[in-house]
Amino acid sequence: MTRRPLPLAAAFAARAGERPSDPALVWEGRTTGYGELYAMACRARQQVEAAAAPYPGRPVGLRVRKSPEAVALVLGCLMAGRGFLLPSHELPDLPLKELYEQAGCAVVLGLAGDPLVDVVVDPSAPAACGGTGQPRPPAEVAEDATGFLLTTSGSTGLPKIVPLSQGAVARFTAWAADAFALAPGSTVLNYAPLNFDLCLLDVWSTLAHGGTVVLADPERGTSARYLHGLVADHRVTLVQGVPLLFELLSRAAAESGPLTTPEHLVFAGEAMPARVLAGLPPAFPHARWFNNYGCTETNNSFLYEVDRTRPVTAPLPIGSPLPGVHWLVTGDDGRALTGPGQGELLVSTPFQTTGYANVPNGGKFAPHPDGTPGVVYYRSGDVVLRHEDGSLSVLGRTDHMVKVRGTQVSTQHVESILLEHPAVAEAAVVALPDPVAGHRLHARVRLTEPGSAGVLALRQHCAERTVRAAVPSVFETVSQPLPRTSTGKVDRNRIRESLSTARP
Amino acid sequence: MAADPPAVPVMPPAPSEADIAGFVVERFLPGLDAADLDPEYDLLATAVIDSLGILHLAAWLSDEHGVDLPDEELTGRNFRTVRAIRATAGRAVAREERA
Repeated sequence: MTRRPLPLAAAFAARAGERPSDPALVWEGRTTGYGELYAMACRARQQVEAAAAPYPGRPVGLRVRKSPEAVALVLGCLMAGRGFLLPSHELPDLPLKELYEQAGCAVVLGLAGDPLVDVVVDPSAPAACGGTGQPRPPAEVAEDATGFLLTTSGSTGLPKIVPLSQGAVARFTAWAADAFALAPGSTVLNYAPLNFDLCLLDVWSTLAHGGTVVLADPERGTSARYLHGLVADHRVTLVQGVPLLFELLSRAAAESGPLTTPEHLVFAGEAMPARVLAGLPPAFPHARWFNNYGCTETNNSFLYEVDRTRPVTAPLPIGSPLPGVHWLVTGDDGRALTGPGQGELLVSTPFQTTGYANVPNGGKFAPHPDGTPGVVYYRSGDVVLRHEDGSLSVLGRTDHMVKVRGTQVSTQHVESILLEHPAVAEAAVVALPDPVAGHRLHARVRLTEPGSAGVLALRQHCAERTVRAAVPSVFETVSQPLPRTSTGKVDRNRIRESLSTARP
Repeated sequence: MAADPPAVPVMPPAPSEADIAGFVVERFLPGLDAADLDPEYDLLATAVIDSLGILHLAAWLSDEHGVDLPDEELTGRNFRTVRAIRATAGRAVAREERA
């Protein structure tokens, strides 16, 4: 990338100017064209500017659910050159209020009345762009000015606020367009809620490059038929999402027919289980598969294209660093590994935040003595295995590493092993303190059908794939879905709490 | 010579595989049906029992069945499966009968 990429708002405005009648968004069967969305964003911009005028330099808070109006409001903030905090609308009022305060939000903007909303914005209101009716170009923004303020998923306590600079997002959208051929004619499914970092690819990069975003309603996110209909009816070419999405689409495709239009599948959020991978070929006969590795702090950092001519095994490797990404793996002594081994992955990307806005960085962002001088690395908290050939696989989170009888075990790795079993639909492995062993592992497993696998068979399955210390001491099978966090990940904390209160 | 019965008490028989499976399930695999536990199922590799579990089993054999195992019998190999545990107990009973 030699040319400096356009800021997101400027890129979107350019697309809207070139092809105003191209479809930008599809929502509830209704299409919003680029020209129409641009007009909505202009109106939102005016209202954002009016509401935030007394507070120069401070971000605004957004309280929105996914909709074309919400997309227009985000674009309006970007066009106004205002930073904006975009938290999950599922957070309860109290922590949400705290987040707005911690981010220093001048006002909270929403699309409907709400106790937390100071100003209701209506992007469809008839007031035209500017008094003269002439649309003003998006405000000039400095590369290091904050645009998006996203939040981490925060399984414990208040989410962390992750500011992303205009430059970081511009570089990201340029990379994404390059990697997945995003252009007019591309149709991208957006499954994640609007506050997720995944939207940088499926919503914002698409709009910066003239493609169409098919917005999936998060309320119907577990309806396989609904999701299949979105992909089939709107001829979606790129599908990005968590394993659950691909599982639902594959299931629906088995009944309603294969999805022939997707060219790119992008796996994100958590490791794809073998069972879900196995269901993909008949469901998506023409797609290339990409395993995407990243997090809110750095955004995408590694990408692996699955070689479909060879047998596919889970977990998928994370592949090669993206252009401009620096990385290293640190061993127990904190020094960078120079060969094969296991340790924590440190990454630096052209898309990363400069640090949290509401909590101390706690050494998560720092240069490393063995790294490239001047480069700030983010400690990912992911334990990776560096193979002989230099490629990397993720084993689990550093905070999921526990000692069982003196052996380092990743509870997440044990979960991924359980998920490889064809009869296992969901699995959570938690470590409970044990006076003798240090920790003992408790596995809670939901089977695809009651009785489809016995506890003894599951133990055997684990024993054949890992060290003995990693075989859980207790297996519990349940028929209810496992509890999940607001971001859809299995809520291990709740499971651990239920176990430690149930037992003396 | 008078055919008086021997004055020593009669040795209880070693526990059966079903007895052993019942104890293993009750102690280490709660909720399972003992009949589902194959006598050849590898209890060690699957972490059903560890070295502490071997001591529990030895204590149970001693307390409930009067089968005392010498230290050198307390090896993983002798406790790997229900069948192996049955054989270990059987050897101990035979040794006591010979003594």
